[in-house]
Amino acid sequence: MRRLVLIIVLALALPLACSCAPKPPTVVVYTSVDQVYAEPVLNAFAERTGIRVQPVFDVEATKTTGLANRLIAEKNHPRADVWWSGEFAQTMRLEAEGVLAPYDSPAAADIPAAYRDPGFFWTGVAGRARVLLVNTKLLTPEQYPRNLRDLLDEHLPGGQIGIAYPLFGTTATHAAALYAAWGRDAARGYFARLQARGVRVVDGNSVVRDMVAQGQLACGLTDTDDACGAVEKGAPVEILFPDQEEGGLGTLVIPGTVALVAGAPHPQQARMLIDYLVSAEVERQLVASGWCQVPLRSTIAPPACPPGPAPRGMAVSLEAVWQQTEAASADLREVFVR
Amino acid sequence: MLWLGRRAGLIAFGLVILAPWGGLLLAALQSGVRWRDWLLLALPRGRSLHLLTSSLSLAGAVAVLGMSSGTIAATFLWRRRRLGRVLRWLPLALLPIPPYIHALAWNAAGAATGRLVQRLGLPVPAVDPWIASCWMQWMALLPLAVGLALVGLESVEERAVESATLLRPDGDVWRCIILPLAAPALAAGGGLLFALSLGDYSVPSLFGMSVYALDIFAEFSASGEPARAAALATPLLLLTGGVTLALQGRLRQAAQAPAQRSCVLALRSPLWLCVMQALAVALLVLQATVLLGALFLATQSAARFISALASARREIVYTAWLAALAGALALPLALASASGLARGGRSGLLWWLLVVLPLAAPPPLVGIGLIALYNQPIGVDVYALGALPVLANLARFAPIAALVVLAQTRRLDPQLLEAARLLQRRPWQAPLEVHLPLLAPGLLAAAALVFSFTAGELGATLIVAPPGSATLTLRIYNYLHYGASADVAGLCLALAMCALLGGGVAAATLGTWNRRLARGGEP
Amino acid sequence: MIAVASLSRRYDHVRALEDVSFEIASGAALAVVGPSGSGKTTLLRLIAGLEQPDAGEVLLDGCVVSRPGWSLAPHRRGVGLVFQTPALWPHMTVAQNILFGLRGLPSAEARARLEALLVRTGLKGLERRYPHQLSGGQARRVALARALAPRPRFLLLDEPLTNLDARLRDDMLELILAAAQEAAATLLYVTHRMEEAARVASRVLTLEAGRVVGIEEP
Repeated sequence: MRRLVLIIVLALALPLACSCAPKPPTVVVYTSVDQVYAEPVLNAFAERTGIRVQPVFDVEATKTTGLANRLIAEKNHPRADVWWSGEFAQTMRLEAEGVLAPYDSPAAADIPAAYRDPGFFWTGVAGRARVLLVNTKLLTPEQYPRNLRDLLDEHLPGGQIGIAYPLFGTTATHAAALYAAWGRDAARGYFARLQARGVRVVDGNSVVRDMVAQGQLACGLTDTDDACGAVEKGAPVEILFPDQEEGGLGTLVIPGTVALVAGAPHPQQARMLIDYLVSAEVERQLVASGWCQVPLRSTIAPPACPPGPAPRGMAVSLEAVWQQTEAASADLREVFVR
Repeated sequence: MLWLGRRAGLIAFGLVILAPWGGLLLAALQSGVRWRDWLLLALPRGRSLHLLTSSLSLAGAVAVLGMSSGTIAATFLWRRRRLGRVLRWLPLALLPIPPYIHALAWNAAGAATGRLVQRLGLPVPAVDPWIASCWMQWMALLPLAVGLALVGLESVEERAVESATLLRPDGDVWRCIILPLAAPALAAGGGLLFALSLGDYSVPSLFGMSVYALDIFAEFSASGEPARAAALATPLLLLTGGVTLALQGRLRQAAQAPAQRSCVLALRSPLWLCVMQALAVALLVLQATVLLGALFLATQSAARFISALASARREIVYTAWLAALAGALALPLALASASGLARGGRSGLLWWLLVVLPLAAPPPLVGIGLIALYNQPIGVDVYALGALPVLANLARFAPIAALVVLAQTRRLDPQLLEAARLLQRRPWQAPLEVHLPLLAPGLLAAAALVFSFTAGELGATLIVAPPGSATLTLRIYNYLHYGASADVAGLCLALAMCALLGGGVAAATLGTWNRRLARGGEP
Repeated sequence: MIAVASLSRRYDHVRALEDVSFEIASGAALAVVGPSGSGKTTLLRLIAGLEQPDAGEVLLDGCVVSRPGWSLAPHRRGVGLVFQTPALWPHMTVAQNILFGLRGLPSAEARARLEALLVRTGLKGLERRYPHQLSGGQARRVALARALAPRPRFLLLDEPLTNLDARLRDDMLELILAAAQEAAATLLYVTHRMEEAARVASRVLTLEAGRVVGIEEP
């Protein structure tokens, strides 16, 4: 019995003992980019530089309460060196909370200024766009919604349309962008009418995609990476960028962001990783892998999915979108969480 | 020395449970007290009151349906040798698989049935979100309910059952003796299901149903202030505390029986119970079939399964280490706190509250609270030691271990321990050579439960996982973005197999141990 | 009449009873003695139907009630059993414990039987108490009253006087003998005290390591 206890104690303590061995140079990155896409990029960096990368991946299920809140909580004793996000709103929140430090990466010089923070607290990287995904078996091309207001049209039953909770993730950012573009009352009214029509509000963009692909919904709002996943699997779906007509609103383009954490324990390695993540090489790699559909550099060709010309983005600044997130969140909680 | 050890254990248990709350409180005080805001958030009214009532009705329905069907299935499995022994371990295998995966499997099964119905030319009825959420949570928690009900039934004294079988038909014995005697443990099980359902937003939100837990997350997500989220969670904490207060007398009675004889006859159930048992067992088997079937189908091939395993080997090793460490460390805490729970009066009640309240705490707040505590100058770099995930899981699940160990403690004959204390030559002899071996079955069960819960934990682990180390569950949720893919299914199967392996080792050890103990008694 | 023919029972690899046979005439008494672990309790449990034999038969009033693979439900055998411990149901009062076996009787008759048993066993006034409010001796008397309430034709007692002091033991034994005589029940009394066996029964069966080593008339 005593021998058994001893063996168990030693087995459990072994990893602690191992952690005392000398360590190679390290960089810690917190990322909300999906693990399947982020891991190859980080592994390539590690191989090239010999720097050990220790990532922490976010998950969609924690409703954006995960890593961003962890960074804020750790502000006084930072553990992370780099924040690599799949979108920009959380990054701006981190900037406002004083979690980030400025870094003007030379590798980002060819990224358009609209996608770089004027104070260099973050740098935009290739991103995604909001799209309408339609089931081609349930809707004919004439019935396809072409813009967001079409989702209020009577010819599409509310129960056939799906959106993710506009309180979390990119759907929340999209809602904030509409607040910035239309004004608070109009945007709130729009969402209230969607809710009143009985539009299906589901757990996330991937669920919208699955329900449209399986024919449980005729159409839904989601992100390009989700939509292209359905196309790759051969689902009977078509991807449409909303509001692309002449004088139309345009769709929301959501760039990814990379930032240096203030007080990072490994600042030198952190800058090297940032240089790598914002480089044209990684942008090309992420576009090719299917994580990004909207490259920021004009020199990089857009991917095959979604087909057609690059989307026209909404004429609102990222800063203006971020300014609206709090109001949108407060309103939409009243509308949808009831 | 024993007294000192127990006192130290009690203090350690209290510290582990209260640490996250202490951290949250300190962080809130440092960032500025806004009592009025917090009070307004803590008082549900209007929309939030409506949300709370609908969440309570859902959790109530899930607890009642889950515990009653679980109890009926358990009455079938109880005292059965072959089939029962096998099916008994099924719950443990399904325990760490997140409820969300259960719901996705049922969703796929529902969609396939819908298509079949459509092909037959029949209309497909629309399912109400409340009913869909209730069904999914019920199914996801059914294996746990069966396990809890089995623990409840095992707590019934064998002699009490035998005395009754001599006098009345077995149907009456079930109704008048077994169920009332198991009632405290069954009620405790129902309370646990209630708390788990109340805290889960993932399944209801899959069907577009908003629940109070989702509102807490929306608040936390929007404000980023743990104090506001904690204030919003106060009604859940108060409700759980209130239920504990109301039930604590009964809870204390749970499992006060001596150890069972190993050779007993299965009771002959009356027809009505047979029918219900058949239905409940069919439901359990259906649940396992739908879940495992959907996972096997989605895994596609053995090669995909193996590649999913190979790609996640680091996570598998870390999960096994973290869960095993949490399971092992939960035991001394549970042993010490079981003595606190056994106390009467106000101090006993305080221990009960301490054990039950963590069940209602939103998991990310546990993680944030620990980080907030780490930010204070406490002088120990628990972070660097990788200890925070262990602490977070202990804060969440050590209370469950405490309840299981309490049940086992109550089943011991106190005279055995008193005799050992009188005869021991060294102060550690009685606790190590008599007390611990006699408690071994309960300790193993408690460790297995903590192992399973830790392996499946998401919210708190994400917040405190050391960089470069992730659990299998974190990877599964990360991959879930792509729906029920082959990788997700393969990893879920791996999680179930891990739990089954752990359960198998526990079962084998338990079996050997029980046989050894049984040989010590009169045949 | 209680008859046991070539009865055997094993637990895993341990032999508890081996080829045990005997008969007790209706209304007669038999005491079973033997050291601890000799199979006395197993014998009672097999006759009561709480376990099934691996070989042999149990007959009550000439009818087979247990054989390998089949056994009549315990409550249909007309057997009353008093265990070594009182085994009272903690959620029921004294009266509820005794009335449990009387379901099906008109309530007036059940009440009358309860009253008579309370008086007979000296429990009058304690009927509303719960088991944890009773002394050890009182609990034993409740267990006896509970076993006697349905008027069993066969009364099985498994060391019912264990842990009682000398005075209580005498009182309890008197009570048991008088009650068994009154009920005209066939009595099987398990003990490991020879003098107790001699007071209860005219015949004493001795078990050792699961085998009958003798039936004597002390």
